[in-house]
Amino acid sequence: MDFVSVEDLLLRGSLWLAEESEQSTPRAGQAARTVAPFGVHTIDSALPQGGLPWGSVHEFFSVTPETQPATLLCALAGNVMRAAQSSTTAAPNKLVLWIGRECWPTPHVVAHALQNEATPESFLSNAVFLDPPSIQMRLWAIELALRSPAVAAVIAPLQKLSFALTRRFALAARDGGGMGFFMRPYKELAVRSAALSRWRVLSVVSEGIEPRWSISLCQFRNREMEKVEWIVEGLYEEGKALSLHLLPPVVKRSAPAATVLKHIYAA
Amino acid sequence: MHLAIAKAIAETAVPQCTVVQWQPYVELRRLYKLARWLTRFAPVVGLDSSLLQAVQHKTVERVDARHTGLLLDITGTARWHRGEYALAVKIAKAFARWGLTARLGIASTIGAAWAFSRYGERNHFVSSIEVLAQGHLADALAMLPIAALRLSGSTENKLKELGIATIDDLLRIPRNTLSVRFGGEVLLRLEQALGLRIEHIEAVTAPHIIEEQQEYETPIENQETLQAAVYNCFAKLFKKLQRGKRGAQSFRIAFQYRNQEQELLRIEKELSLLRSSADFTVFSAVVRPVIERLNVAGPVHSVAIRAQGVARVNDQQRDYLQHLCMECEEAASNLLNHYTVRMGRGRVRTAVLHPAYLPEESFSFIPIEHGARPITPPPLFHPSERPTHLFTPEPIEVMALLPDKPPSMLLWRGRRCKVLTGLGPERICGPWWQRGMARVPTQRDYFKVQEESGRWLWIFRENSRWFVQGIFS
Repeated sequence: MDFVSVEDLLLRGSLWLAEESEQSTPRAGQAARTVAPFGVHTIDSALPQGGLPWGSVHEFFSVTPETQPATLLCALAGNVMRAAQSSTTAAPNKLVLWIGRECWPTPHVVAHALQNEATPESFLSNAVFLDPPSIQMRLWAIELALRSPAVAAVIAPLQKLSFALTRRFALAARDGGGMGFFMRPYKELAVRSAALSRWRVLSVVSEGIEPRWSISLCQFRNREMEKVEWIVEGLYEEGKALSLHLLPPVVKRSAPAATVLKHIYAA
Repeated sequence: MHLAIAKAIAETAVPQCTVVQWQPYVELRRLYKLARWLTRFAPVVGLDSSLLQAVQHKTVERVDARHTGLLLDITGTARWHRGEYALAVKIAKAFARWGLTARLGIASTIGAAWAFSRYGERNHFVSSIEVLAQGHLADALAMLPIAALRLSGSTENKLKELGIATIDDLLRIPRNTLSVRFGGEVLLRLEQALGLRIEHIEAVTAPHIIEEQQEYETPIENQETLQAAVYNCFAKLFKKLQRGKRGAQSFRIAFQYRNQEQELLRIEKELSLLRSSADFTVFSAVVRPVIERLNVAGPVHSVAIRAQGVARVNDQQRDYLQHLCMECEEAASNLLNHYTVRMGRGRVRTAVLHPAYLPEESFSFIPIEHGARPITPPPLFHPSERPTHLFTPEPIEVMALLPDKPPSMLLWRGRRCKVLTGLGPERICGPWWQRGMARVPTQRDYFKVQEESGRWLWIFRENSRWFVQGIFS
């Protein structure tokens, strides 16, 4: 009989930490509130803890690299940043990192998303954009950022992640207390991951100029969720931060998105 | 006791006189101060070479008063001051304001300038300026006594005994016999004065280099020993820095090693930090992984580490209430230090917004600097009007029915996309007022189009050519 170490089991995903399966207790130096809001009331109440718990990793799956929900993640980073700000640790120095040159959004969107509600200033100077030269360096940079207590959120596009790596990131985030938001290709939704929540995001045809997505929570804490589809719109308002709003559900999913999906599955 | 007698005589001769003790090192410090102040007139200011030697040998009190002058390299600065003469007048007047009388000389060589300032014809401070053209250097020098050659006392006496009183006498003697007859010094000084030998001014403002160097009698072959040696070197360097309450922004490590062919080779590595650091514990955490990855191909003979970008570091007082905040800031700068050391400055950036209409000029990603928080001006447009990802325009092919309407079909990156809806046009005009811009300014008509998968693209038309510049995602 072979013997395996606990570490191995953890990395393989056969073993879970008790803390993760139950309500996690806040760690030292962390916010008294254990969650940061997603920003949409309906989605927040659908999440077991009423939001995204601090020190966790979340994955967002999109069909093509060009349809990665960059604006959505900017809005989420803004929510996380403001939640960190209003919590007990007065932390105006917390950082938001975008790791990987292809995911750097235009600073106008970032400035608007990271708008501070209380004062007219923006947290734009707290946004850091990294351009790691290699994939190894990118993984290193992400892990280091997640492990740091000075980071509110890490946003990175990732591909071909092994389960062990997602596990590492989840553990690193648990240590650091920040959030990890990863953009991954849709094909990898079938691959197991240690991320706390996994979302499928499709951009949807909208009437106005506001970005609109169809968001559904596929897995939470490695459990399949019942498919609920939310249509969420990003709303730009003068003097206010970029906010997310829920729209009434549409009966049929936009046909083009479905055809693209079919195309992906065929490939 | 003859000093006391001299003092008594002086006091009887001039009753008001005060006697001050001569303190050569105090005066030297003042001379340095004066030299630094003079850098407003010329980029390079230095001390006389014999004084500099005396400073190194700590024999300043024995230096002849003639050798305690200052040298200014005014090459190329004459235009700033409207001529060398005007510059000399300016310097002389500045000295007069300080209550000092200066004797100035300007020449094309250090030796000649030294000679004219000390042995020039007239004594009045302004007229003692000798501005000389290049060609007549030897003629002008010929009249001066041999003392003007910056010779040591014994050599000067020897020449005088032989009846050589002026430089002209010396010039008449065949030059190749000079060193045999009087020793190398005479020839050296003569050639320096004539510009046949190069001489440098050692600037007083030269940056103070903080460096730690270690040489090893038995070369280090073991990787772990090398790491320990580098670590040790850093620790010593930091002690030096801390003594002056200074921190360095980057460090250059140089190794000398022998390869298999026994050639002595040198490799260098630079580590740059986010901000000047004087805290070795913080620094060592950042630099340890870098040191651990050092791979030197051969036994190392010496390690040298030089601190660059040295600046004063203020001791930060730790406020009790701000403690948490401070911890967070420390963690943040620690994290960013890790990134800059491993990836280099250019890969860690922060964003700044600019008040410009052209989309690609309205922002930039600049290398991050600690403390310098970029000021963000309010943007000139609503953020929803600009795409999430902006890239360099990529040409596309379109099918447009009407000139001022968005196209109905476009071919981009080898894919044909049907356009569902479009908004626009928004006309953006380039900065026509800037020089160097084309006479006809760039005018772009931007459209925001939604293709069938729901993705919004930002396309524009410029001179009837179409481009994609961004994606709203």
